[in-house]
Amino acid sequence: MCSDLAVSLQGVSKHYPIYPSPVRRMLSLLFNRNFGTPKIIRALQDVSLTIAKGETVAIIGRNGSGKSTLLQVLCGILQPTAGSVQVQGRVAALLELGAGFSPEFTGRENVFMSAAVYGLSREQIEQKMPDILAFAEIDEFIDQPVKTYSSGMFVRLAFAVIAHVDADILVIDEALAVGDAYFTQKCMRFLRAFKQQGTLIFVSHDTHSVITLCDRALWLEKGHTQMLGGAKEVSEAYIASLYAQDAAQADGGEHRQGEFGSGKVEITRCRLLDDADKELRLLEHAQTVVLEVHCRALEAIELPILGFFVRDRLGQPLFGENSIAWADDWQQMQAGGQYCLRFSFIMPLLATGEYTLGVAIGSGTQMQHTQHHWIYEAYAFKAQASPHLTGFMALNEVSFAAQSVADKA
Amino acid sequence: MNLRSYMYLIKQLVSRDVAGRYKGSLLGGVWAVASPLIMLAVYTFVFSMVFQVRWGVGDEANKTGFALNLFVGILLHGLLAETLSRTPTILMQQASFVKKIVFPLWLLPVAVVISALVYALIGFMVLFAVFVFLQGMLPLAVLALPLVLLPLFVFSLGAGWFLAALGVYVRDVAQIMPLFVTVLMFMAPIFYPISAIPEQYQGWLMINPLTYAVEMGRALLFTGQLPEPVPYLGYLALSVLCAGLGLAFFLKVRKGFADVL
Repeated sequence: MCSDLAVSLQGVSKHYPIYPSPVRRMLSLLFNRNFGTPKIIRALQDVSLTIAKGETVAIIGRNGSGKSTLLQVLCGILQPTAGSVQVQGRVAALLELGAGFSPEFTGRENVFMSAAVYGLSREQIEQKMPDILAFAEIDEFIDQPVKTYSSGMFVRLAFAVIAHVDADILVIDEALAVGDAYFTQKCMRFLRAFKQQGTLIFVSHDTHSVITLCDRALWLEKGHTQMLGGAKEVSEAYIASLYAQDAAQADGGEHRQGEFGSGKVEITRCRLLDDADKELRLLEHAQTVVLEVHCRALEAIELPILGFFVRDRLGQPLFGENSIAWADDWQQMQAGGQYCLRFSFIMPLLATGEYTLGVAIGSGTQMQHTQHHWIYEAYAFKAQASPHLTGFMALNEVSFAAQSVADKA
Repeated sequence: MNLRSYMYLIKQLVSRDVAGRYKGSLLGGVWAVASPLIMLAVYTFVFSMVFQVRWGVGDEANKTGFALNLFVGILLHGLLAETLSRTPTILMQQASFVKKIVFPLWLLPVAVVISALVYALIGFMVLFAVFVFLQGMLPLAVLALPLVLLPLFVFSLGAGWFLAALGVYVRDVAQIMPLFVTVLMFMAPIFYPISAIPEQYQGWLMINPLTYAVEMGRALLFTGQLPEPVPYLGYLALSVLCAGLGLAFFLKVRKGFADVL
């Protein structure tokens, strides 16, 4: 392997044989023969990845796609069934909360233990202890048994340790998700600094971090490589695929849950488009958007209305609008006619989270109307705002001025 | 990882183990001394007064001599017994070492055996103290105590590795061990001298790795006799062989640990 590569995985596969009993597994290992036919679970299939020194690579994918398995193979915890793994440099991994921490012993004692596993001597650990403690910020709890820690404290201490073992390659699994916003920011600052001289492998469901932190990304789907390329392209393709199912259904699928209506009008398609006319799946700043709805009237309809609502993850309606104010433009629908309806508005920057858009076509007036087709969740998208944003959304066009005023006598 | 790292890691594991044994208890380390003493007192009472066992040696009809003879055997048995009862579950207890980090797992049984050795040594210190108290001084031969302990220690390593690995796949091993440990105790000349066994069965007793160690230990302490070189080297060689086989087994089936635990 050439010397500027940190990691080289070639054709790595990992199959788990499920034996009828542990004893058969042991005998099979001992005598290199199979005792009882095992069922094979293919966790990884022919995955190849090379990472150069100093690169930051993300590994993304759904739950169960093989991300953790790949990391374990990379770290040497698991042996691949096929393919080769070559790693150059010291690897420090944060794979599970409190891995290697013994509950009865204090945080300090566990730090010594963990750092020793990474090959540090006692003197080295003692030297680094103040830095580790400063990073972890668990104060007096460092001398309490680790079993009394909350999960946030665990991850702070575990991260503090791996941050100070002089690793060349850092592997961070989703364990980081447990920390609070303040700690997560601290880790991100550390990781950004680490990136300057080290290699970082990052597994996360937070596509925003992936895009801002990583150069490249590997998308795993059911154990095989779905896509390998620049972090932004791969992330966007990944998010798009997550919602592809919804989109397919909105494109004239059968009735599913969360829909009702007289049936006289059918919504065939619903999309939210950004100013480049592409589907908006990740909202990162306030922008003009177009809600485009295609529908087909099965009968003639008088005074049609299109309405929509944006809801948060909990189903709470945030805002919406309907077309009544523009009724002059759209007085009726012909039987059998197909229509393309567009709402254009400025979408504010919503707080980080997942959102859905519900649409409905009805007819009548504000006071009295009938619903022809109501879809509770016609479209889904994510928003990524600054972690400092509290509340539902960020304000636009804000200005501020301060002026001292004279005291009234 | 180099040798120095391994040594440091073992030191960490052992000190955690030894410290953890009595951590949180009121008397703490005092138990390390008190518990063998209490056990010794009970056994002495039962075997010398109730069962009225006599060592065929002739002169030691007094209880203290009996007690000390007994103690040697108990300590040596204790060393092996701890290994046998703790190692089958050691990997299960430290499952995260197996599944979540890169760790030289073969060190875990080593730490258990060394920890047992530490307690055995504490027991021997107590023994020597009692000995000096009762008989004035120790024979010079006690300096050869490490010789007695060495083959048993090596054998324990092999047994530890074997049982730790086996215990992952065959859970019953952990259940059988307490029984086996008791059998081992009675099938060694701890409560009786080997001469108390009919001649034709004495050979069977020699299969027990404790037998030779106990006989050696007693000879060292009470008659100042050093072990004969040839049988000793044979014993040591067998121990090393067992250790090698145990380690080989462990390393061979190690791959499946993460899948089973």
